[in-house]
Order: sequence, then C-alpha cells, then structure tokens
Amino acid sequence: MKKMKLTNSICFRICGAAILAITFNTASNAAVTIGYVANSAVGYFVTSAKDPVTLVSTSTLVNTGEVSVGFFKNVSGFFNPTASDWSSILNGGASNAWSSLLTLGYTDVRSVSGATLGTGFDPSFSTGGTPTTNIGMTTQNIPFASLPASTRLYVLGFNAGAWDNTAKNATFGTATEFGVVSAFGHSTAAQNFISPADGGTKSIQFKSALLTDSDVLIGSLVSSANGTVAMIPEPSSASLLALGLAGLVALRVRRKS
Amino acid sequence: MKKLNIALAILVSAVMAGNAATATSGIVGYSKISAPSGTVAIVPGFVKAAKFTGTATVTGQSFGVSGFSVGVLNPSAHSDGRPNYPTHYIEITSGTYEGFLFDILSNSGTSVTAANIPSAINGQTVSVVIRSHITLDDIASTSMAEYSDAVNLINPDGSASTRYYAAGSWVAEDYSTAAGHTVIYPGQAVLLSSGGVTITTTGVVKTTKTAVPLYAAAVNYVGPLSPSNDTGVNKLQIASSMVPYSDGFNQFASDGFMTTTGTFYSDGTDILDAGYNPLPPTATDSIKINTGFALSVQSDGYWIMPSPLDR
Repeated sequence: MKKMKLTNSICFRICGAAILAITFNTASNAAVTIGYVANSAVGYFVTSAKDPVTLVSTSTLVNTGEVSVGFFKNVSGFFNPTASDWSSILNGGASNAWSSLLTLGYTDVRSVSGATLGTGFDPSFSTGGTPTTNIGMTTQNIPFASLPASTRLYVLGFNAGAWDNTAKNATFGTATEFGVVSAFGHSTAAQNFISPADGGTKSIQFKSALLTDSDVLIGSLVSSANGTVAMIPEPSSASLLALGLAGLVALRVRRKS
Repeated sequence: MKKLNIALAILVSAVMAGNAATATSGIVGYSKISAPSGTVAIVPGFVKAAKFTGTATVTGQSFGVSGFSVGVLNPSAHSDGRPNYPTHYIEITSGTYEGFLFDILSNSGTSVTAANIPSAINGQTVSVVIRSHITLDDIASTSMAEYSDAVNLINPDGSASTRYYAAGSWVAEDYSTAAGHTVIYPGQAVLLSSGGVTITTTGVVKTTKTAVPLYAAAVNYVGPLSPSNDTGVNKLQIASSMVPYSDGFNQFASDGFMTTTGTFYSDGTDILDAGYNPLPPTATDSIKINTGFALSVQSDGYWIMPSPLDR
C-alpha cells in the first residue's frame, strides 16, 4: 500500500511536471517567417504586354501595384482551389479577382493575428521600373497554429492597388492585370511554395522554383530559367484586343474580296 | 538572455603540467547565462580543453596519431558503454577542412577511428585536436525545476528530442532514461524551456574555425561560440554558406517567447535584411551572447564559423 502511494506520488509529480513543461513550451512564440523577393536575379512578374526578346526592358516590368503572399483556408480547414475555382476567378477579371479570392478563403499572411512586418518591408512593384528594382518583403511571427508546416502558399501580383496593414486589406480592385503563382508538386521540397517548420523561414522566389506552366495559375510562364511570369489583362482588355484582331482579319478578307 | 557576469577570461599560455607533449590550454573562463522564463535558444560559448593536439595522418576513416600520454585518451575513453553518445571528437585545425570534426568511434594508443572523413584528405597529414564533447550535463543547473525544465534538440531530420532536468542531470522523453551525456556540438543551440534559470558554463575559447552542419530537412538552431560578447550579424561570416535569396535565418528576442526580431538572407556575399537589402557594415544587428538563431537552408551544407577571436 505504501509502495502504491509512493508510485502514485511519483506519477503525480511527473504528470504535474509534464503539464508545467507543456506550459513552458506553449509560452514560446511558435511562429514562422515568410519572405518574398523579386528582382532580375531571381525573377519577377512582367506585364501582359511582355516582349520575350527584351525581357529586361523597362516596358515589360510591372511598375505599379503590389504583391500578396498567402494561403487558402475556410471553415473546413486549409485547402487548395480547384482548376474550376481558378477559371472562375480568371473569368471574373482582374478588378474582381481580389474580392473573389477573399470570398474563396484567401488569407494574406500579413493579416494573420500576431504577424509582424520585417525591416525594409517593400511589397510594391518598382517605383522606376528598372530591371534591378528589388521587391523584398518579410512577414515574421506568423503563429505556427495559423500556418502549420507545409501549407501551400500563393503569390499574387496586381498592377494597381496596395496593402493597408491597418485595415488588413488591400485595394487591388483597381488592377487591370494580375497573376497568381504557386510552385507545388516539385520533387525538391525547396522548390515548392510551402510554409516552413516552426521557427523556420521560407523565402519565395520564382527562379529557384524552376516554375512549370502548372505552377502559374493565373498568367503565363515566360521563362522558367529567368523566373519570369506574365500577368494577364482584364478580360475586357483581352476582348478588345480580340475584337481588334478580328477587325483586322475582317478588313483583310474584305480587301481581298 | 541576459549575461549576469562577464566571462572571466584568463590567458593561460603555459603548457599544462603532466601533458606536456600533447595538450595545451587556451583562453579559459566561465560565463553565467541568465535564461528568462519561457524558451530561449542557448549556445554554450566554450569548448572543452584539448586532450591532444598535434598532427595526424589520415588513412581511410582513421587518424594515425602518436604521443598519447597514458591517461590522456586511453582506449576506453571514447565510450563508456553508451555507443550512441560519443564522448570525444577529433577536429581538423588547419587547412581546407579546418573546423570539421568527427566523433571518435574507437581508439588505440596510436590511432583514432571516426566516420564520414572526407576522402579528399586521405593520406594527408593534418593538424588535429581531440576534445571531449560539451554535453547537457554541462548546462545543468541546480536552479532548474526537476521534470519540468527541459531542452529540445533539433535532429537532422527535423524531429526534436526532449530532455528533462532531473536530479542534477537529464532524462529522456520517458522521464527515466539517463540523457545527461547528450552531446551539444560546437555551434549547436538547444532550446531551453524553463521557469527562469541561471546557468554557468566553463571551458576554453575556441581559437580555430568550426564547421557547423546545416540540414535542409530541419530548422537549424545554431549560433556563434562567443562567451563574452554579442556577435554582429555581419561578423557571422555566414553569407557564403547560404543560397542567395533563398536561405534565411531568424533572430529572436531574449524575452522567453522566441519572438522574431530580425530575419536575414544572403545574396551570396553579403547579409540581406528582411527587405532583401544589403545590411550596411555599420548595422548593429547582433546575436546575443550565448544564444542561437534559426537557419533554414534548401540543401545540406556547412557554416564555417570563425573563431570568436577572429571576428
């Protein structure tokens, strides 16, 4: 009986200690860091008016708007939008894309409670449009519970609007071009756009991801080697372009006849 | 983390009595570490005194040495029946592989056998030092709470091993298996969770480089061996060990909450700040004394860390 009491006492001590240990562990700020960088060395978004021959030309660079990095989560948990979802967003046009993405469940990592912005944070596209313009943004202290390891991340580019870190929302509804990239399913984990383990850092860039067409969900892959992705224009713009082309063809046919 | 006492560093250049041919002392001292309540990444700033210094000729996975004095490293010194916990290591102290260390698996009076010795140095004669490892017992403190205060060590595959303080030493996750001899490799950080403790570490200041292994499958908690001063981020000499614009590391506040206060990347030459801009030489960002940072890399490699005397 005495031995049993002693055993129980030891068990209680260890259990109590374990609870204390858990308490201490949860006191630590389990969190991750997400970075995104774009420049001529590591790749970037270019405009829909891209010129593959002169990719370093300032005319191909996006020089207004910003990027957003985030993930998708709804009441059921984390998820990845389907091809149908992307098709719907694409058809909705650039000006509706941001609101549609939010409705779908998109969460910018900056809006996660507890997240902080790192020094030198600059998510905006070039102020001068030069090929060496650097976009560098890092979001720190994203609670691990809000962004567990290996959650798929998405990089969005809009050619107008900006993130408001006070309102935790953006004004991307004024954009006329946009793109979405998420490298996933690559054999090398480092190439995939996925969140890191607790305490870790994930720096996202296009070039080292060795992007494939399937990684570019909205837009078109210009060069995997250079890490360049072209945004796509507003459907209305595309429609106008198509109409223009159709008009040219019609005119040519008419002249021939 | 707050350093309570500046390391008492005493330059002892005299050769240690009794080991005249094999070992010399360096800058020795002690450092008191005040760990806050919560979690902090601790890096012991010292290494153990050398048990042997000299030259060795590499043959396969063995270092041929001569001059072992009786009692310095006898044939049973490398192991005390716990083969998974090597007690000693041999480290190359000059040349291309300076700083690379290898756990000693066995030894005789004229050689030590290790593993993973690069074939590139086979047949070469290199300068080496043999030391016993720093272990968890070296950071145990009577002010710790038994079965409560604990450390997490991150393994190469990303998993964590937890050790609890108990009866002046440490036990494994089962709360019973002795684990005080768990090795803390030079430059490795352990994540200490406590109610707030003071730890005293002793040893010698490392005067040569250290090759700190980095693993892609893990978040690497590492830090400078610097028992008496903070280390400037620009002084880590880590930029060339990082894949440009991809690998990055987090610096933490000493608040016990592991709050990230800085994130740094590399362009291959210089350290970049969280906005991916080069950190100016005048930047004051630094890693606090006896603490570590969390480094994520996309491929396995090494950080060739300079001696604290060379920063």
